[in-house]
Amino acid sequence: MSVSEESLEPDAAMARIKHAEMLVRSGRRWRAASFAAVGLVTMGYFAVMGGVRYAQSGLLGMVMTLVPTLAVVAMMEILGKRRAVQGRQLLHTEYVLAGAYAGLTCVAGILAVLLPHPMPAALSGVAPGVACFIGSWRAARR
Amino acid sequence: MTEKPHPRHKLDEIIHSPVRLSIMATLAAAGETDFRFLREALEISDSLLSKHVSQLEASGYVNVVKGYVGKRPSTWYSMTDTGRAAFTRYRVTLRHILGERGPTSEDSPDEEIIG
Repeated sequence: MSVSEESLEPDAAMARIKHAEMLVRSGRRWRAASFAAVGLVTMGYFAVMGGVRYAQSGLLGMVMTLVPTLAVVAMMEILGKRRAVQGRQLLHTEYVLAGAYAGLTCVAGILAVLLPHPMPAALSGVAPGVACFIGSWRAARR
Repeated sequence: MTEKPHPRHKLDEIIHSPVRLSIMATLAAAGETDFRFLREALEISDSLLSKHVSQLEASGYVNVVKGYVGKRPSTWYSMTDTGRAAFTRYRVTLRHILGERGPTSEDSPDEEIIG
């Protein structure tokens, strides 16, 4: 709903208020869903990665290393198309969480290779996943 | 016998403009938001948005903060307490005109202004 300088009838004014509320809610939901999706993909990735490494599947293992990168690229693409409210506090939180996610994913990747059993390797993906879920919760909250 | 003025006369003229109302409604729902989000949500030009935000700021309804995101300059807007009270009164008046129910949980109970 674009706005113009025309005069405003009461029902149009109320419709405008409801539209603005819907737009804010929708942007917030998209952002929260994007964070949650990256969290799920990351945790799923490490869960599968633990098993793949033990299956000694070299090619699949290489393909799997691209999954978190693709998840983040997809999230950036979605967020770019659908802008959400970005106050300073939320922006700061998102920067911190993005940094935490990147760092924790690197650590989890190293642990997944070094740990001798599939289960700890799979569990190493929980921490970066949790960072994304915190982001999702913060984005959904007013 | 004097007739009561129509409630539409109680609509805050500063808010009762398509652009300014959209700005206030968005800020009421969002809390703090940046220039880009407002511009894209309202689908208006930078200059038109700036003009109306300046009017709201001059009326004490909107708080403007300038800063940086990395090296990129950015501007954030939020509603002041005065702005929030004025917007609540505006909504109550609007509901009254439209014959809807009285103040809801979104509106402060002490903001009823219709006599």
